[in-house]
Amino acid sequence: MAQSFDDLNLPNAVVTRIAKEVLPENVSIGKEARTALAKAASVFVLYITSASNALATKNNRKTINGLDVIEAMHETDFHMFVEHLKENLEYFKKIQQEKKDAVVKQKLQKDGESNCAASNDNADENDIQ
Amino acid sequence: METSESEIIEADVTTHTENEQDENGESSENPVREAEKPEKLFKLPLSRIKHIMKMDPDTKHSTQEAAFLIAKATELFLGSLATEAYKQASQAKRKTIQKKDIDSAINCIDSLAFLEGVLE
Repeated sequence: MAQSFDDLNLPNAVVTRIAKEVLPENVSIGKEARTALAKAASVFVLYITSASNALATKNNRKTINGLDVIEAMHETDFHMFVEHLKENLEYFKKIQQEKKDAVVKQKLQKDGESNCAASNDNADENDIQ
Repeated sequence: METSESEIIEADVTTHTENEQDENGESSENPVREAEKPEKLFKLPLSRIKHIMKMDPDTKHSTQEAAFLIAKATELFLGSLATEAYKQASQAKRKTIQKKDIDSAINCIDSLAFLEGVLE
C-alpha cells in the first residue's frame, strides 16, 4: 500500500509553485523538501477527507459536501482557512453555473437554427402557392 | 518557542491569497504574486485530489464542491507549511528550505501534528 500511496503524490512542480508563491524570490526549496511538501499535501487531503466524512456520517449522509469540509477545517484547527475557502466557493459556484448556462444557450441556439431551417422550407412552399 | 500557531499561519495565509492587510493591520512583507490570473481558480489537479480522497476506506462519495474545497484548502495548507519551514531556515541563516526545516515546523506547530512521523 505504501508504494501505491507514493504514486498519489500531487505533482511536484505544482506543489513547488504554490509553495514558492508565499516565499521571497531569492528563497529556494531543496529537492528532498519538495518531495516532503508534496507528501504532506497528500496526507493533508486524506486527513481533511477523513474528518469531513466523519461529519457527514454524523449527519447520516454518505456523501461529503462542501459544508462538511468547511466544518472539518474548524475541527482540525485550520479555521483560519475558512473565510478564503468560502469566498473561493462562491466564485467556483458562479463559474459552474456559467458553464451550465453556456451549454444550455448553445443547445437552444442549435435548436433555434434547426427550427429556422424548417420554417424557411415551409415559407418556400407558401411562395410557390 | 511558544508562539500562537494559529496567528502565524493566519498571517501567512492572508498574504498568500489577497493583497490586503490582515486583521492586525500589518501589511504583508512577502510580495504577492498577482501574476496569477483570477480565472485560474485552483492549481492542483482535481482528479488527483479525488483519487487521494478515495484512498480513505470510509469515504465513498463526495460532491464536486467538496473536492474543490479540499483542493483549495490544500493549496492554502502548502502556503502555510512553506512559510513555517522558511522561518526555520531563516533562523539557521539559510535561503534554501531543507527537509529538516519542514520537520521542525511540524514539531513546533500543533495543527501540523497529524504529519508527525509521516514524512520519514
